[in-house]
Amino acid sequence: MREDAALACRGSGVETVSSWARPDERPGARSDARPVARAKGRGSRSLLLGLLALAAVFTGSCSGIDEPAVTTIDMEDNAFSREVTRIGVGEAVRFRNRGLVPHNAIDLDGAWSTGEVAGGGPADVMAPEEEVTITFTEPGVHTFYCSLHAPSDASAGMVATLVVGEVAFQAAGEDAPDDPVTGWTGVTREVPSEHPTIQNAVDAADPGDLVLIAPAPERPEHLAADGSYVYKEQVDVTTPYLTIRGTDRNEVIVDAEHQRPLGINVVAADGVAVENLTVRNATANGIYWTSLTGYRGSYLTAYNNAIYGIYAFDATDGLFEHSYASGSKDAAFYIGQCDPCDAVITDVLAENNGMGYSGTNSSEVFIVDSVWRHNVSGIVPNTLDSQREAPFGRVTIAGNLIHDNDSREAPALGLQWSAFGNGVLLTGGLDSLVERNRIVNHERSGVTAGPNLSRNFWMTGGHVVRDNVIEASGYGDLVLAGPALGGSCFSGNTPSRTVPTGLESVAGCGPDAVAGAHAAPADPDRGPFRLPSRQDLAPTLSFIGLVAEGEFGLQPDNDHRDTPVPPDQPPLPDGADAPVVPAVDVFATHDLDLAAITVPELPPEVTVGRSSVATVGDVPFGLGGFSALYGVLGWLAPFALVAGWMGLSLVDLARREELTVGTRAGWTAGVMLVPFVGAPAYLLVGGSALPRWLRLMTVLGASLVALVLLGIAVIVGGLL
Amino acid sequence: MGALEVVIGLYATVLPFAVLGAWLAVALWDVAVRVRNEELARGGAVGWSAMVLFVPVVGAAAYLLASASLPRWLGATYVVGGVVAYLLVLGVAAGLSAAG
Repeated sequence: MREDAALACRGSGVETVSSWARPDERPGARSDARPVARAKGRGSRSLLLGLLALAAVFTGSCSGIDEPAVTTIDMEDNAFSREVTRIGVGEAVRFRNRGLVPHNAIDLDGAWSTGEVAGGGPADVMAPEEEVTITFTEPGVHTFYCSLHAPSDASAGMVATLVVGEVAFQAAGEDAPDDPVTGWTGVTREVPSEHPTIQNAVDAADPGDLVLIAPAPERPEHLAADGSYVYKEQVDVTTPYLTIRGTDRNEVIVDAEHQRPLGINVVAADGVAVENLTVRNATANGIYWTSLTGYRGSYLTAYNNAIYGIYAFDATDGLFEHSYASGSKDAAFYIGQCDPCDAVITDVLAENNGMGYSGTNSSEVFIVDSVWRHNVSGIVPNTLDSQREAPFGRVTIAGNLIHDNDSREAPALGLQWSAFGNGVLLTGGLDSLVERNRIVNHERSGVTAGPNLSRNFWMTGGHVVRDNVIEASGYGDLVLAGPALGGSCFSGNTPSRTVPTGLESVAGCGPDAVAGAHAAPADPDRGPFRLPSRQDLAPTLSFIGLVAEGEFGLQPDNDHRDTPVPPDQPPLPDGADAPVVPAVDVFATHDLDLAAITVPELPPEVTVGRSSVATVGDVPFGLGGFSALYGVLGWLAPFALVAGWMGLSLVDLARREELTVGTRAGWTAGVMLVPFVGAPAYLLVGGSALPRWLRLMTVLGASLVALVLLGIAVIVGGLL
Repeated sequence: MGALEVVIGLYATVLPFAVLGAWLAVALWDVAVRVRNEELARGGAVGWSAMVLFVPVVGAAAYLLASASLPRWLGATYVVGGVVAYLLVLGVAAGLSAAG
């Protein structure tokens, strides 16, 4: 719903426009754009700014100044919040990055970009929470795109349209899907012998072709800083069913030189397989598939790519196999925003990253038979509101070797730091299976299931965690962080320490338990009587402490460009002569035998051992000051208050010999049985002989002080 | 998961510690009163206090049941009542958990 500036002035001062298009309109003329302002802010710290802005609305914006109407287009991960937006001539658009990764908006015809408006180059990006406002003074139609998440022809991916004024415009319809090309055409496009660049070969190829890339020729234009010869290009792929293959995994290198955002960028092209090559030094992502069905990455090496190494987003039916990724600040391997994803990750190695695996809002993902080591955290399926398809669910993690994911030497972003020190972290999702993995040496936990606070509060439940070998976890081998939904169970993991204590006893799995019982926690396969164990807030508060550390920038500041170059990795068997198979029906045809998966052996070079962290009431001391602070103020202090009220009440009742037995017994029952308010009620209205000031101070004063201290800690930690 | 389940679940987690704290408070207060009334020698007070403080759970419960100057019924109410209250709250929480 759009309202005019005068009406907006009475409200927030800013209004957004719903997208709509008239079927009888046709594309019209372009319009002029005029930059007017750029604002940078952080939503999480916007409470005070919000109050100031509110004051400004009522004192300035509504004082008769004729401000243009402003329409907000949010940049999510990775889409604009509306495909078509209409505004009037002279009105403005505010681009606001509401995602967790950088974005930009660039006019297809080069008339404007958020980067230029902000005073930089056209492809400069906006960090999360940054805003750019542009006023449009002429009627016209603008197609714009994010250069990180769409090709430069804006043919697919993160693309949208802005219609300014009453001009003819017809929204493009969806192209009818082509029939899948399931086999090789027999045509090979060779690089560099036939085509000088990979992009040339890709652009010349037809669906079903093989693009075969030999090592870059030893010519000056291919010489990299380290003396190797590389392809210095970003490869945008929009032709479906290609197979893009290097002849030598370790010698065929696409190098983004820390200048280009992407190495290989497959957008809306179904069925593209990328094989047997290396991609490095991208300022965003190494190898990227998005907005498509059918993908495969085999025998790939991705290193020192800033955000993600090997990455699929809004893509289904995929496979990552026999691949390696290191030196990414977010995650080595990522599959996001898909339900069902129908994706498999198998036989991969992730080391020295922010996270080994991250999967936001991705369901039906199978992560098996792989190695995750020396990352800041290991495997982290998660739920966030910055992407669609929330929450994640039905992720299977089996047969993996997960060790030493508490690296302080690996690069990480602030948010990724909040996952530090966990082998497997299930945050905010549902119904997943963690089975027959070996998980050792983690400063925090082997496996944690807990909630995630995004714009919504996402609780977790319905997981089955069983038959893993979990050792040497500093805080807990198994952790269930509250508040949690029901249905999660833990059995056969031989933990030496769980949080809460006795987790396998009070929340065990029956022999036939299957993941997926969050909606039916009374599932008999989880035992006839399950003790409540889902409200232990201490680990959640400890997790929030790490979020605060990230907000404060207290995490180690490691440059991803300094991550060690990996050694040569095993090549594609048969190399250039391997069968050419487009990525069609990948999930259905992949031979995944979960029953045959076993716990992997511990390599001899890995020494098992982490010091246990001291805890009080499950609050860890020794995992950072913020973790202890929030644990004390948010968990132990309220604990102590309740105990103090109860103790004081019972002492007072013991002194009051003038009361009848029935009255004293009745108050005793009330003090003990009425949750949280029984004892305060007695102290305030029970006729206690204690001085009034003491009772008021104990009940109301102490509560107020506890709340104020917690509030201060939350604000200081940047959590508001 | 409803709010009631959260509240009862949290209380089931807190209650045993709160009850134990209350036992300790009542027992130590009673020791202090008996010393002030010269009903208990300093050595006896130290010994009882040590038992209450250092013998987990059982020390405070035993003092309230056996050696306090409190009325016998009141000590029993605190000890048995505390245990019964915990079991009741735990049962309600488990019931809500299973039903939820």
